[in-house]
Amino acid sequence: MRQALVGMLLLFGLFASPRAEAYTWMIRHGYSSCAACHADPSGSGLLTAYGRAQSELLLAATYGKKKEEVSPSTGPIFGAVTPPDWLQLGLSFRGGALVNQAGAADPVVRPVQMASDIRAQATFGQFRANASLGFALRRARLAALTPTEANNLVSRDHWLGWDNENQTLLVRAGRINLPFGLRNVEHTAWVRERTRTDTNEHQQYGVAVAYNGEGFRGELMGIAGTFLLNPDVYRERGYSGYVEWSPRTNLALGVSSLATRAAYDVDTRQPDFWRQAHGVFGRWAVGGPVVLLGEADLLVNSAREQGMGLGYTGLLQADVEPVQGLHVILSGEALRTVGGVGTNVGGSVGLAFVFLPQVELRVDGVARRLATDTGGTNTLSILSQLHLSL
Amino acid sequence: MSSKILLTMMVLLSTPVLAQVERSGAASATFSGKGPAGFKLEGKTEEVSLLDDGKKVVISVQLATLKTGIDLRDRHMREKYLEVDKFPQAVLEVLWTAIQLPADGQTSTQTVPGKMSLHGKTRDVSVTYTLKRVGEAYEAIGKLPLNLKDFDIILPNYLGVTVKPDIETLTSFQFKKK
Repeated sequence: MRQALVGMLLLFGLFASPRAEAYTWMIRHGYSSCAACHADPSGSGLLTAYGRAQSELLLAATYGKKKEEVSPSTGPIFGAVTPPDWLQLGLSFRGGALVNQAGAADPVVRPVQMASDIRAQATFGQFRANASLGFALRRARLAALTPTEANNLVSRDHWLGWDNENQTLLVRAGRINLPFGLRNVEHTAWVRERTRTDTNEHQQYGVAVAYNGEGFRGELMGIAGTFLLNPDVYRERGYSGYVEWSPRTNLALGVSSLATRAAYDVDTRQPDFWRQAHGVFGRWAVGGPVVLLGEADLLVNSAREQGMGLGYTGLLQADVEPVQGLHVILSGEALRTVGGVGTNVGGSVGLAFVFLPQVELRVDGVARRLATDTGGTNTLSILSQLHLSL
Repeated sequence: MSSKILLTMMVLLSTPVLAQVERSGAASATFSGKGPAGFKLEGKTEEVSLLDDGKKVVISVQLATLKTGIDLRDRHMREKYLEVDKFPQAVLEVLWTAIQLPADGQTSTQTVPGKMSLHGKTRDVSVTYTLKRVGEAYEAIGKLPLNLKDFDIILPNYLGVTVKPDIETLTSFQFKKK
């Protein structure tokens, strides 16, 4: 019975759609900057009209055919909606099935619904208003507008922004993705999870200034906290930012830094908690079908009743696209938590297929060894997901 | 001194630069353009030809072979903007008298005037080149900023992303003196 359930869920994952998010490997096509394709200048989320076209031209499988023109179906909801020029709309769904096994325990199988969000941006001259609204069966509590344990309305980001005339500078205020490191889709990767900079739920309120110029880009955000989190003692205040340099169109190298303080940390339950992460990251289109992505971060935590502790985390990923639309993703990661007993290591193999424009199917197998006092625990996860970015 | 002798001396003295040249090895011509929010566009071709009539060197680039990495964009570039059916080449002419060839083992960099023909228009331009000589072989790299408006080329625009009129071009090739 369990095997049948696993099979059904995996099939659901296989025939569900993956979400078009931030694809750091777009540097393969000479796109070291994200701002032409995404409303967020540092990548991820709502696509611009230009970004929608690229998803058909560069991301989706071509099945050997040459595109004469971009299909009208790249418009919102497969082209069913034609918004006015000042309005950008998007619908994002990401869901599937997760099989998880830890140690000798029986595998746990459950459906996952990571995102089902409506996204919109209205642009009036040099001003923009951007927001998303979605539904989360579970998790994403930090983005929840409603206070229940599950089945919440969520708004991962909502902000007001002003562009300069050349659109090299964007000043934003609101709930914003934290600018830090690689804006990769794997929100459970340790480099995202442990720095709390994923795009799933770790956005924060604040003011951010983003720059996208020739060969350089960066964003610095003053963090005012997560106002969806109460009471105020849990809210982090500080900054997060990165600077990235692209000496060539196929190479980008960056540094990131984040430092926040919370009167009481919501995760570790420690008072007067300082959290820092500082690191380097890079993207390199090696040539042919291979793109290498890497990030290494130093983790520094301290609290009133605990001295400063150090940890680190890193990710090295190779994205191989033998034919357009088909990706083999090989990843290795490491994590030493602050105060942890050893180094956790992990490796994963992923297979993603963008079989239609803005429709992606992805399966990942992730093996991790988590260090413990008694040696370690092995975990194995298989995640199949369908991602739609309509 | 008779005029014939004077003419003969002038020809002999100018022999190094009047010598016919021929391309050798690889060549490439690239352009890079910019757009809003850090957008960058690059195109490249290896179809570069070199002619020498004794007075000037003529460098021609076959525009139909420029590739930017996206087939549809290439087609738009060829058909809507460069109109390669009517104007298949970009041609740069530089007088030999303006060019200083370096001695063996030396490298020289110079900015010289030239004439650029593109999209049916010919404009005076300034080319900055670097020449490196190894024996009888020369490696040349030339940079030439262009403004698309100067050549009546419509500014490329696609779904809200407009390329700025100022673009950079870079051409490199090797040649030998005959």
